[in-house]
Amino acid sequence: MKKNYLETFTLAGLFAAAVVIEFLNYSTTHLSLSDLLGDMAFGPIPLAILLAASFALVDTVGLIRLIGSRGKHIGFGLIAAWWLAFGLNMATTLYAVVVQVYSLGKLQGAMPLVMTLGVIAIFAVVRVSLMVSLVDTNIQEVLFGRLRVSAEEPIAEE
Amino acid sequence: MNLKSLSGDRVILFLLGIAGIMFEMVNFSTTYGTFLDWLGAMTIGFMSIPLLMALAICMVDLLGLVRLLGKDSKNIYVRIYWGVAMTINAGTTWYNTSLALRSHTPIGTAVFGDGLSIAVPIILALVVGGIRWALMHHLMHYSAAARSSSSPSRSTRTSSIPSISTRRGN
Repeated sequence: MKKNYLETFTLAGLFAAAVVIEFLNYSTTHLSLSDLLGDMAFGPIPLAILLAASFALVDTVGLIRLIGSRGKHIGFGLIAAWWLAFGLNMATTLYAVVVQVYSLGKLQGAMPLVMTLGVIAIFAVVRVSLMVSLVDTNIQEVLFGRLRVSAEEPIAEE
Repeated sequence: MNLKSLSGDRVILFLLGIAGIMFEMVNFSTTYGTFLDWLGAMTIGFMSIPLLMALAICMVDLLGLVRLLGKDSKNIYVRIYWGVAMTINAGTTWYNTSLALRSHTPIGTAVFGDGLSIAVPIILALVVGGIRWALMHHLMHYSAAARSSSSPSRSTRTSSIPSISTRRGN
């Protein structure tokens, strides 16, 4: 009973961490795209907001689908979309942090850039580990989308 | 895939639908911007030609999407025209992003150099196009599964008709 309570608590903590990271992702993607795209807009809505929201949404959906997929098959499509959104989020996080550090006047020489790259790499590893622990599966399954298939649910032909 | 899991997936489909609409808005905006740059203020009567072109391409894209998610998923012509519309959209995303990067100087150029204005449009166009293609692939897989799960229930309904007629006969 105590173990179950602890497991639930850990899972809730991990989920909260995932939500916070998603907010961070949206924020950094928005910041980067605002800097890159300038005043491009769809009517009154800036494209930076539309794109950042889309990438965050695809990322969240991929995460939700993977978390709720225990015992079910997930096609390659969603996994590929999730990895693309994840890759872009990582790149925009790197860009946003570098731009911010540069704006503060602290980016002189190669060392801060190397440190930023290191931090981003650690962030990416933490993110994938979090994903793997939330999905409760192994890294190969998350990488290639070959999750377990239960006997009751046949896979549709792709 | 049973019906219970299909209804549970509605939230996922709703969220993917919102993401799809936002991608379409981005596509429309970049396509319109590109044609506006190429064609200028050309009009037919009171209608702007860049606006008409952007609308036409986005409508072909949406139509292809709807038909591919329906029973025409194997139709090669639908796949071709959707592929062409998607490629044009990716191209215009690249072009319009390049224009935007040249019309102002991002702060990141000071750190990453001029290569930024070459790399960013390519990456953005590839990622947006890639995500749209991957989501389409996922939704096609999903709709095929939904169709295959709904067909046995129909056959069950059909098979129950003889038993009714037997009862009437009795």
